[in-house]
Formats: sequence, C-alpha cells, structure tokens
Amino acid sequence: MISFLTISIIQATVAIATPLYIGALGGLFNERVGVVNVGLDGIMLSGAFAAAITSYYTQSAWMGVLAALTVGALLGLLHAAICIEFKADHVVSGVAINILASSLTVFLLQLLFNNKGQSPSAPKIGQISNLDSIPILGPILNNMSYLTIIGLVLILLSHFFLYRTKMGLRLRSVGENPYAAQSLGIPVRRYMYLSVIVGCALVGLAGAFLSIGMLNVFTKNMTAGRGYIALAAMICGRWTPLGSLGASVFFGYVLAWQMNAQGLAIPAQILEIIPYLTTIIVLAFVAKRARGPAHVGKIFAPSEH
Amino acid sequence: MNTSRLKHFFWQIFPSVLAVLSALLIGAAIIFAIGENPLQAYAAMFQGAFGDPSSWAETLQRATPYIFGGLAFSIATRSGLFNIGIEGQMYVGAIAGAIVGFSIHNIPAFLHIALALAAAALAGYVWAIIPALLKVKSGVHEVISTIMLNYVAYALTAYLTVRVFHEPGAVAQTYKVDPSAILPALMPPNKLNTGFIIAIVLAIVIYGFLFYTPWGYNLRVTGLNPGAGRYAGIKSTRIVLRAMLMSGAIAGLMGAERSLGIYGRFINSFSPGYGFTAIAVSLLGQNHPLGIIPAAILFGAFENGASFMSLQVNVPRELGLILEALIIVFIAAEHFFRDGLRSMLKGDKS
Repeated sequence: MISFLTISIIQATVAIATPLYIGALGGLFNERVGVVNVGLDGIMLSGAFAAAITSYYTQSAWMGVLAALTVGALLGLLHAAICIEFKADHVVSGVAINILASSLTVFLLQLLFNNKGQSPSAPKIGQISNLDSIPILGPILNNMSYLTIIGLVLILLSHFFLYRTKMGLRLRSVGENPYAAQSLGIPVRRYMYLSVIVGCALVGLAGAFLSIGMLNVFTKNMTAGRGYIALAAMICGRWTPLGSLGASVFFGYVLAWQMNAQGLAIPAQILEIIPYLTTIIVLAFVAKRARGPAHVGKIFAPSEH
Repeated sequence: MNTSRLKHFFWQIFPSVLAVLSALLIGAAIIFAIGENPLQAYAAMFQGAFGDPSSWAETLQRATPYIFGGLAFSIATRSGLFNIGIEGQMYVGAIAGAIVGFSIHNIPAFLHIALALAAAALAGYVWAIIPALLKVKSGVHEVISTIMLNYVAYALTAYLTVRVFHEPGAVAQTYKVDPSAILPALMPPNKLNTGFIIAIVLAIVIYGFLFYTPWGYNLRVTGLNPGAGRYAGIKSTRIVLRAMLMSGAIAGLMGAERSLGIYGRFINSFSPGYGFTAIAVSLLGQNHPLGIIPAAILFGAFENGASFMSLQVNVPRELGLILEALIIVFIAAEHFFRDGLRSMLKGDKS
C-alpha cells in the first residue's frame, strides 16, 4: 500500500524543503532589486563547504554557520560588483560563480584533507529533541534542525520587511524601476548591493544546512542542483517569501514521497522530473501574470549628467 | 589587412587575452600560496598539454566538446538568447546517437554514422523546441526553462539507461554501439576522433553563415537590437526560434561525439559539465565561431596540462578548472577593462 502522509514522509519533506526555502528566499532578495542570480547553486555549495570545514576546525557548528553566511556574503559582493559595477551580464556572472565554486571546493578538499570526495566529519547543528510526549506534533517536531526553525522565522521576517516596512517598499521599487526610485532619492545602488549581499548570505546558510544540518560532512558537489530547484521554487512562489515557502514544501513533499515510494510501478527517475516540470508548466501558464520584478536582469546605468 | 581592421581585431581579442593573463596571474598566486613554484607548475602544465604529439591529441580530444558547445552557445547568444540548456540538449543527443548506434545493424559505416549523428542533432533540436516556443509564445525566460529542462534530460536519460537499454552489470550504461557507428579515431590509442574534424568544419560553416549570408546578418541584427530589426522588416521571433533550434542541434552533435567517439555507448551522467564550461569557451572566444576554436583548445590544454602538472608538483589538478572559472569572471567584467583602457589611451575622463 502506498502511504501519502506518514511521520517519516513529513520529516523528510521538512528536511528537503529547508535548504530550498532558505535558498529561494536568498534568491528573492537578489531578484527583488533586479539582479538575476543563477549562481545560487555555487553559492550554496560554497556555504556548505565553509560550514563543514569551519565546524571541523573549530569543533563548533555555529561557527560553521557563521562561516557559511560570510562566504555567501562575499560571493554576493562579487556578484553584485560584477553586475552593478562592471555592468556585466548577470547570467554570465552566475555561471562563473557556479564553475568557480565546484572547482575551488574540490581543490581545497584535496589540499586540506588529501581527499577529493569529502571532508572529515564535523559537529552538526543541534535539533529539537525530547518532544515525544506531545501527541501528533511531537514526533514531527522531534529531530527537526534548529536551522529549519530559523529559516521559517526568516521567511516571516522577510515577508513583514518587504510588505510592511518603508524600506521593504523601497527595495521592491528598485527592482521594478530603479530610475524612478532614484529620482525619488532612494539610494538605488546601496539597496542593490545590500540586498544581493544579504540574499547570498542566506543562500550560504542554506548550504550550511546541507553539510552540517542534515549530515555532518561536506561531499563533492553535494548541492546536486538544489540551487536551481530553489530558483524554481522562488519563481513558482512568484517572488514572494510565503509563496517560495509553499513551493519549496511542495517540491520537498514530491521528493520525499518519491524516496518513500521506491520500488513502485513509477520509476524514481520519472518522479524526479516533477519539480522541474511543475516549474515549466507554471511558467507556461502564468508567465504573463506571474512576472518577476520588471527590471530584473537588466543593467542599471543611470546617466551621469 | 589595413590598420583599421587590425585595430578592430585588437579590440576584439584584447579583453580575452587580458582575461587569460589575469586568470594565470591569480592562479600563480594560488600556487605560490600553497608553497609551490608557479613557473615550475605552469611549465609542467604546458608540457603536459603540448609536450609531444600524444599530449596534443589528448588536448584536442578534450577541446572537442567545447568547440561544439561553444558554437551552440554562440549562435543562440548572437540572436539574443542565453542557452544555458546545452548540457541537457547534449545528453539527449548523446543517447539518441547511441540508440541508433546499437539498434541498427549491417549497414555501411558512413551511413550508420550519418544516421546516428542525424538522430543526435534531431534530439537536441527537439529538446530546444520547448524553451524556444515557451519564449516566443508565453514569454518564459529561456534561462529558467532551459535550466529546468536540463534536469528533465538528466532524469530521462537516466531512466532510459537504467530501465530500458541497460547493459547488465553494475554500471549505469547502455549497450555498446556497433563498430560501424563508431567515429574513427585520428591518432590511436588516443580517443581523439573524427568528431574533432566535424567540429572544425562546423565552426567554419557557421562563420560563413553568420557573416556572409543575409540570414546570418538578420540573426546578428536581431540579437544586437530586436527593435531595430523589426523596423528593417526582420521577423525577429522566427529568427530567435531558428537560432535556438540550431543551437540545440549542435549541442546534440556535441553529445554524439562523446557517445560515438569516446565511450562507444551512453554512460549515465558522463559529463563533468561540458555544457556549462562551453559557455565560458564561447565568451572567451567573443562568441565568434573562429574565436571559439583557440578558446576551446586553451581549455582542453588547461585540463589536460593540469592532470600532468598534478603528478609533477604538489598542486591539485582542479587548478585547471579554477583557471577556467577565473577567466569567465574576468570576461564578465570585460567592458569595464575595455572602456577603462580606451579612455586611458584617449586620455579623456568623461
């Protein structure tokens, strides 16, 4: 019999969804100020790597989290500089970051541990425990990583920030029409830089969850395209924090169910297609309505005169 | 060649040369930082890439998918589309070529190869129809749809490999293709094969196409400025569609060169990211069909040379990949360099 909703499926859904919604939230802060970032996957990978090796050397998982945030922010600074300062194509910069991350992490693994496959095991981030006594909710919450909770709090805070504060409104206006925003005296470039850097730090945090939240090691190319699924979740969620969360949970559920349904008539490879196909179909039908920020991917070049 | 053409040529290749030199400089700093001698490492790299005919063959073998991939990327880019789905189009091409390779028997080699290549090109073409139509009909950005389709292609080829055409054994690979479908090797025992020649011929044909036919002219105009093209009576949607489909077909051939020329079968997830590195190759070659050839050979040399280098000095061979990534970071900032140098030479500070 196939079960659609068991405790283990729910737990797996949450575990798979966590890096997706944190990553999607990071991507959203890029795109909301008009910067496309296809480098999410590379930034996530770098975050995972930084978290694992820092946690290994300091024996403190939270130092690892800090390192992931820092590396993410640095890559965000690089991406912002290339896109805003050098006025280069955003996608080119993203592709560069992906290639750089996948080669640099393996290079450093080899150099530091003489092992191209994985890092030594490192302390992992804590998780909720001893809640077994609570009915229904207890077993679901048990073993939930603290990062999952932090991620949910960040989603809610971002929603509040973007839609209920003046700064959030300004930030969104930068992505829609930076020239109009500038004429109103909004420091457009500062908003772009800060939002991209913060967004990429979050993507680094999503990576930390992969290496020291879910597991306790970094393995070569461990993101396995999760950065791209996060990008898909952001789009399916129409560039909003709550929508991204919803899409991530949906994708997480599909993948968790698929792992649970191994050995059924439907081959796993066909089920793996679902998140990608969903994104394409959603886009095909709602692309006209579900547009991203109007100025996304375009170069902001105010005339100096 | 008169001076103005020479000047034009200089401004075209200058950012690429500068990007390569900058990447090598940072690479040297990395080598120095890990306690090795950069000159010694680069010398070993050069020797590994070009030291003797067999190392040349290996370098060109590694460059071949980058020539195909660079051409695929450049033709889409020239029309204004960013085809980041070369990887997926390559996978479906590779498996289509392999399927024709192992399911048809007893026909002459030239015919078998031609059929397998045609199937590969067709598969890549079909895979590119989806994002092309989504772009033209629904306005879905091609970067997103092609990234998603890459993953669909991975899963689909994995399904076909493991469930349908699986050769019994532990490895996720299909049956071997018939000998008549194998692209002949040029310098055995090296795997360099006639696919390399096909890539070079293709580059020259595309060069002629882009710069000496009205069709190519329309494509370039559309890419530079879709609005202006429309005023000139160019049907931009049709051009964009065609360019994307051509790009997909070339990516399909790129896959067939691997499955028919190197492995003799389709191997699940065989690519170390050829389709993405090809983007860097195309950009380094300034999206010019003839610029892509030296750019691809340089990348082949980095990878081949770095393997040899890692045996001579204590530097991991991933240095080659890091150099490639650094190059595209610098290429991304090319306008910055170009404009900077121009204004420095002219001495104006506007």
